[in-house]
Amino acid sequence: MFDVQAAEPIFSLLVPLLYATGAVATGLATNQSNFLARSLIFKLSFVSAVAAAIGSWLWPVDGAWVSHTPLASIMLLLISLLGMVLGRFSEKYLAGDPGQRRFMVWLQVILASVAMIAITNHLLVFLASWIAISVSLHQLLMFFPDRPRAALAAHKKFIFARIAELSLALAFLLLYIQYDTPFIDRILAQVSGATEVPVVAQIAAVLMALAALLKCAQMPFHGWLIQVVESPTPVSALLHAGVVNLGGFLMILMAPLISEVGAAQWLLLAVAGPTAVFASLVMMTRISIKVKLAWSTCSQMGWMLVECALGLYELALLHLVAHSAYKAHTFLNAGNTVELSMKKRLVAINEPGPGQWLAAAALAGLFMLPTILLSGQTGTAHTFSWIVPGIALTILLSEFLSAGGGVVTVSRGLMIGAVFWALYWFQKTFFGMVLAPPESQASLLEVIFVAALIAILVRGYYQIRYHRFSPAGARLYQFLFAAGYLDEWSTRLTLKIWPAKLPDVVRPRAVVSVSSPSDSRESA
Amino acid sequence: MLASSLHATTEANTDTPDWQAAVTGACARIAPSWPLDQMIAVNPFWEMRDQPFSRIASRMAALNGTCCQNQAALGGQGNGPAAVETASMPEHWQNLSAQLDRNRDTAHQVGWQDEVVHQISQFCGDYFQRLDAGDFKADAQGLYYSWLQMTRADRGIAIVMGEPSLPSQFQVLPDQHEKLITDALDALASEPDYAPDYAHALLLDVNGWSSWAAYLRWQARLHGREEDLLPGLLAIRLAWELAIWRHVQHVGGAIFAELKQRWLKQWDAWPGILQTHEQSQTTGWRQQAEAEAAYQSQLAEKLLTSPDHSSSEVQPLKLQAAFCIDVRSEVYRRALEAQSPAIQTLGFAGFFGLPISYRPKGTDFCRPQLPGLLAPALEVTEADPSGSFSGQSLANHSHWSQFSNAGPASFSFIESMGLAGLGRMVRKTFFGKSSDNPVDQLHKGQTEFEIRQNGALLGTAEKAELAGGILRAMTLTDQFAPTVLLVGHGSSTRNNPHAAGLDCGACGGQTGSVNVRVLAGILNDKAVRAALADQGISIPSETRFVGALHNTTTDEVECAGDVPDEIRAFLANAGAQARRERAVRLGIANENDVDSAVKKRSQDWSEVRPEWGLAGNASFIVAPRSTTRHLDLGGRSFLHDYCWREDEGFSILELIMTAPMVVTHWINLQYFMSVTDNLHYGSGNKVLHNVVGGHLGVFEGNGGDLRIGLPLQSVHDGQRWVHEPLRLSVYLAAPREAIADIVQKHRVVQELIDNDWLYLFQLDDDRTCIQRFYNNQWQTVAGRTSL
Repeated sequence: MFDVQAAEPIFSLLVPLLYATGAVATGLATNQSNFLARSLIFKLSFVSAVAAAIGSWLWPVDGAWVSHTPLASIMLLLISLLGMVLGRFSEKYLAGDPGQRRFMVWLQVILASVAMIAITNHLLVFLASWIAISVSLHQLLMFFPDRPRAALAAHKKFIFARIAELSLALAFLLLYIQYDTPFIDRILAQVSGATEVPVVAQIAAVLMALAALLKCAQMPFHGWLIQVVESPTPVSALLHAGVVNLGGFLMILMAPLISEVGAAQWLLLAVAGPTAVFASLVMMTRISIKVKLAWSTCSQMGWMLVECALGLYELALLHLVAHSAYKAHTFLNAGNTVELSMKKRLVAINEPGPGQWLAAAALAGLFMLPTILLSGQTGTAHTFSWIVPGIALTILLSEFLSAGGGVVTVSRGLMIGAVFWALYWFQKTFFGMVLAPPESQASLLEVIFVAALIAILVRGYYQIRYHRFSPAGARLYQFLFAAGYLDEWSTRLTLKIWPAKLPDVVRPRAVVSVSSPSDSRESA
Repeated sequence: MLASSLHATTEANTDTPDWQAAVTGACARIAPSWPLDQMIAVNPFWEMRDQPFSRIASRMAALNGTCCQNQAALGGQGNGPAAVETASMPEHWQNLSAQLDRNRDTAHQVGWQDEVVHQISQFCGDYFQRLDAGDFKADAQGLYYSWLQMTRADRGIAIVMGEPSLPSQFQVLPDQHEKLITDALDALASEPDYAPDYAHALLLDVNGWSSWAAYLRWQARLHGREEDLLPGLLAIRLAWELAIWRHVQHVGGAIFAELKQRWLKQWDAWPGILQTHEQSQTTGWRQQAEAEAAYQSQLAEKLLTSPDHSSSEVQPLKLQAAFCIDVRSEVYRRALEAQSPAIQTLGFAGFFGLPISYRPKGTDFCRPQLPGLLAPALEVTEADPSGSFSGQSLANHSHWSQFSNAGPASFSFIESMGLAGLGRMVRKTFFGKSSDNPVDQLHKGQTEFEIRQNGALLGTAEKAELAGGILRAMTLTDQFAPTVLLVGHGSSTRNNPHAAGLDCGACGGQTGSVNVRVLAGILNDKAVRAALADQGISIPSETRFVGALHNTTTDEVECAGDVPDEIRAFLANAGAQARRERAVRLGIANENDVDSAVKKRSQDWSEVRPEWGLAGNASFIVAPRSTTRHLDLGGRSFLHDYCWREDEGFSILELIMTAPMVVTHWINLQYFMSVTDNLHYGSGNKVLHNVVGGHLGVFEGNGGDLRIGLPLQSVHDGQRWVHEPLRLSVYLAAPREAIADIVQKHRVVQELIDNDWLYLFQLDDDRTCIQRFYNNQWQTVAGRTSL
């Protein structure tokens, strides 16, 4: 048998290498006929990722520079599958655009960097990839450089990204000084082995939490994420599915350290918790599909970080992966909005009344209680972790109870609810087994804090859905519609601190020049 | 409307100028734009058709830089010095907000113009979305006051603009929109005569939403009501101007003095600006007319050649197929006729004369299936009671999406079911899926429909009367083939917000499948046939009418009912031939398997150019098919069958000139303007499209104004324009006197002809000459002798 130890890193490394080769080839190619080669790169990368995952599952080895943890495999699979879809999608979608080649180059650079970050075990490589991602993302966000709002958003993002990089660099430096090794697994092993986390490492944890919050576009650093729908749809899909969640990845990767540092957890909770709630409510007031989706991402990333803070790392990873899949699909499918809205307008539906809400809550309780007793996991956070899907199940059942159609519809609703519940349970358990995260040590206070936020979310949802036109509802709506003015402050401060050269807004921009379309927008 | 009195200013000092009239004048210039799911083409200058196109073009250019010429897209003139000439357009009018931006440091601050448009547009999105959902009733005052309340409570504008004292200006604005308009124009309109133009320029800043308000006005008028939200929208825009003006005045200093000076100077210069633009366009219009003349002489040459009579020997017909007048039908009809001389095709408006709206059984949804010019008079529903089942599953679906979009549920929903997105994504990317319009799904396989007028079922006599009129208008009154296909059309695309724009405009931006099935049902009804025989139209008992749908993306024709195998083969072969012809323009002619390549396009969710729609349209020919059957018109002509000898009193001709001719003109101008100015009258880049309010329209990117018209990708292939912007040339095979009478009778028609919105030609019976009708004069433009 060949030497597995030696071969395994090759498959993992092949993924970023292939993308990098693809990026160079696309950049150098002189004609459009490199499409075949291009889609081949995406497919080969996926195959390598699969091979690498199978390899590290069957023949677990300890890597030095390359990590073979299940986390790395999952991330690698996710990113290469996403890459395959995006590569193919953008071939047609951007056909005829003078910037298509530039797009393809940077897409592959980002994919290479994300793949690298997923598999590396070395602090410096991690940091370099992290920086490469923001730098190349900036290129894609400026795909249409003459759009002022795109430039403004990218400019804001640019500043936040630099702060995040600084925090991360500092954190890594501290870790290196403290533990005297650049290898992540060794650092984490030392953390797990010790009874106390030294202050230097605690500071590093807080800095990494800060970097994660910035990367995940948490409030008040969220504005750019919303406004970058000024770039082509595949950029949004890539950003929302493959880049913005890296903050969560960092937290999951560093779980043994983060779960020991209360300050880092509280920082995450204090910023991401309110963001999850607020962004979710703001989403209800948005008028356009892509902006709605962007707010949804902001909220979902907040929730993922809350799960990290509570020590529910397996849920955070599940959230990261499932959200990527969900959001990439909904973004790419955003053109379908008209059909979906048509479908919704076909029949007028009833809103669930108080009786139906109560019945639904009672039924959901019947699912929840046995699960909590049977799940075998202890700790406040784990018990709490069943309350949130319980609320979702209540909403689901209340909808089917009010849908009319008698017993048939209700039993249908119960069946769908059971499937929902089973899938949730199964995936939580599966990710828990695969990831084997450190035991949750969330304090009661932390759980109460999150529970209070969830209560606020439910209350706000209720107010907007049922009492939108009452004076209080109207005030809340106005506040949410304005998104709390947070981004306005952030925009103004940004421009004050670091002025941007924005495209001239006085003259109307000729998206298509009157003279000749071939030189429109840019010279590719 | 300009400068009716030179002494306006002196009068203004004594009397209050009539601002409301100025406002009404400006609001009346805005043409409607339909929602995305009913996207039909409109001439965006329809409400200004009472003036020559060239004058409107220069005025629009002067107002906001709209460009009505695109030499690069005109055939054979792509690369002359003319292109350079147009590129440097003279300065146009700047509203106050744009003027002020000249004093603003846009590297450190957000610009006024940008923020004003953004703020109004965001408000409108929310307001019109709720209005659309039926949350409240609206009028102009309600619209304005709603905005005022929101803006007064808003803290964000002051923050983002960095102007802490700006909000106080919104507090002191009047609560009544009429008062606001008076106050603002008193303060800002230094030359009352130009006030309508100023008001127009302000509406154009938010032209997308103005057009939406104009759509609501249009719908109200179709139903006999007068509702106009535009004055409210104008008041909002004016409120911004007034607030900015007062704010700058309040903050004071040199900026205000400078702004005021520039502002007054611009008002004085307005007639000059208009004139400069008019002059700058003269060359362009000459080239425009030359390009149109080139097309017309080419077409005239074709139309004046005699058909090859040897092939049209009388033989029993096997198939008659009536198609929509759509230019895409021309390609398919030619291919179908090539299959056998025993096939006859007809051209008729694709809604087949049925003034219906369609309400799928068991739903609360109703959509018009007729041209936007008309209000539906009848309502059709599937007769099959099994429809009620889908009602429940639709309700379940809506409840499910309520759940999956609910904030508190979304975290767990994604954790439980989000992974399914991977499967969906892979399937759609690598396998494709044919299009499934959720409404068209509902009548799949249904051929029996109930027709109601004001709630009561339509009786046989009424059906026969309707059918008789339609058959006569179709020139299908004798000589029936055993199979008569009534072919509507629709497109099939994926993930396309503008999908309805590729469907049948005559059916209100829907597929024609309901109309053809309903009409086939009526014509196959024995009782109706008996009643028709009394009217003198006797349909042989062996004749069967079958509804069919021409898929314009794949050129497949699907019949709603059994047809003989031979006919099925005709249709399939014609489809293959039409696909090969279209493959050239799609750039897939070199593919090994054109058929499957075309099909793949229609199922690909990343395809932004599934078909070219009506690009290339240039002429409308109203004549018997025998006039054009031998010609290859290149998919550029709308074809309407018409035989004047059978048209007593020329009522059918009158109908054609007032309805289909207007619809074709709307389509023509929509494509025209989307090519000449995709920024103002096209919806821009598809890769940035962001659907607003489910179906109201799209933003290009994050925000800005609502965008109307066709996407860039619908008229441009990445290298060149695929639509040549030519005004429509209409050819009527009818007596000159009859044409002149109808033009005289209908002001709209006269305006279209005499104000250069379209060309009208007459084709005589012997095909010896073509005469143009213009300014009540006939002029021979082509004759067989001259060729």
